[in-house]
Amino acid sequence: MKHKKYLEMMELALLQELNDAELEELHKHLIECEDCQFEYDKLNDFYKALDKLDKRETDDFSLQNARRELRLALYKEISKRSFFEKIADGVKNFSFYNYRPLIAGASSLVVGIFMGYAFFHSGAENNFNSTAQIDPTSTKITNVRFVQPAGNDGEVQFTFEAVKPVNMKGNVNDPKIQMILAQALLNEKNPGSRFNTVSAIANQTEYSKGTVDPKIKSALMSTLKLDSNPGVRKRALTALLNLPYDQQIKDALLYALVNDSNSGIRIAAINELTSATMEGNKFDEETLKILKQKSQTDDNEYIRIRAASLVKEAQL
Amino acid sequence: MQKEEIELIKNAQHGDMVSFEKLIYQYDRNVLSLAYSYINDQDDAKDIYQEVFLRVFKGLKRFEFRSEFSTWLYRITVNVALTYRTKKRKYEYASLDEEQTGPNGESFNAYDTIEDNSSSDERVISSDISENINDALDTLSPQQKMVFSLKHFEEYKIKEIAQMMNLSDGTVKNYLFNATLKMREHLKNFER
Repeated sequence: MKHKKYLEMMELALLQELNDAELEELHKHLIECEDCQFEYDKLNDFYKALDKLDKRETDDFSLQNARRELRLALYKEISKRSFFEKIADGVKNFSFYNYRPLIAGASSLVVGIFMGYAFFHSGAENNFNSTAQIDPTSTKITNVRFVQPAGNDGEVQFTFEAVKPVNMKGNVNDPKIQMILAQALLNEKNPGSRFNTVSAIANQTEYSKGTVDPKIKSALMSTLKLDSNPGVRKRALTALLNLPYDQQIKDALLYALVNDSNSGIRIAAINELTSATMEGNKFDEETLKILKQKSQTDDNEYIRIRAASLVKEAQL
Repeated sequence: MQKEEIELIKNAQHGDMVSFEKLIYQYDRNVLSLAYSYINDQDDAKDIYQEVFLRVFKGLKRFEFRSEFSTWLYRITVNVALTYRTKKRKYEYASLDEEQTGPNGESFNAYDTIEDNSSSDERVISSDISENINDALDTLSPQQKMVFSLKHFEEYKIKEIAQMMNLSDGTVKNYLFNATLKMREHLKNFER
């Protein structure tokens, strides 16, 4: 093949990447050059064969699966950042640069321990009398990671996790207690503990007349979406239902309706959406699209019927 | 970038998971599709998808709006796909004239599956040859295969591919031309 330039142009022409002038130039050349015409036909055959290949398309089922697995992976990722690790991060970000080398490492360690202690004891400015009892003998330092190993000047920088058992007592409306419960909800590995935590929050949302810290609300929504235990997810949904219906709650309900494998949770979600319409809330196009899909595809007959009637009501 | 998307990114950067999901769900179908086009295996594509969004999740705080979010995301996708190593053993593909055994014990070779009286086009569209095209794709370098997949399966323009792969248009074209040459070389037994 002598005409490399035209061979490339042929390919670009078949890929529709040539402009009109270039196309005209190529066509003129093809009329004059038999070799190139022959090559063009062969390339065209090859492209036709490619067109006949099975398209590598992803279906909705694969996408939903991928999303579910991603949510679990993200959940694990979030869980990795434990409560004390965040404190350790805070310690790391303190300015120790003026301190002498070894003091830097040692003080990081000491401050790390006492930051945790101070966290539970400071802030008596609110009206709640929460108390935390810390066993001073049982601090466990783990996962020490060197950010900067010791150089010639002896300066080191590292992070660590300081784990200390704490016995805490206080009112569930105390922001400090709420913050810890929210953390526990997201990080605790034991489903029984998560259930107790979400139950405590659910009781609080029931009596708080709809006012709740945004962090708690966010933790409840994450639990509804990500927790692996259906009992915990269901309790998180119950807690959310005590809060005023808004866009975030609606999104969380739709999410549960579309993604949750437990039909009880999906039923609770669609029931709440039904209640919302009865209170005068209107659905947007996207929500109606989801409901329409659920009316045709959900495994559960009740959900299909309920979704269909919601769509029908919205169209009246 | 749209105002709404900027808002979602900023919220997600502050740890709002609802915004993070809303943001990625605008693009995740394309990411999965791109991964599948490249790797041709649903499970591997799902692995790539997950790795991409975990990297996005970890790196979003460092996103400084210097490019479109989609460009940044697709670059991550391309990088993850290019460095991905499948966990499965790839099937080895037999040479076209090597004797094979059919389900009923009969012997045949790949050429036998092409009927003599069919036209060149008909021959080339047979599923056996499709398989060979897929095999031929595996002979390409990762970059060639990525460019080829993005162009032929995902139908991106050369300019868009260049952006995704952080390459010049000319380099993308070169990958494409070389990929075509290699593919045709691999499949030349099927040409007239």
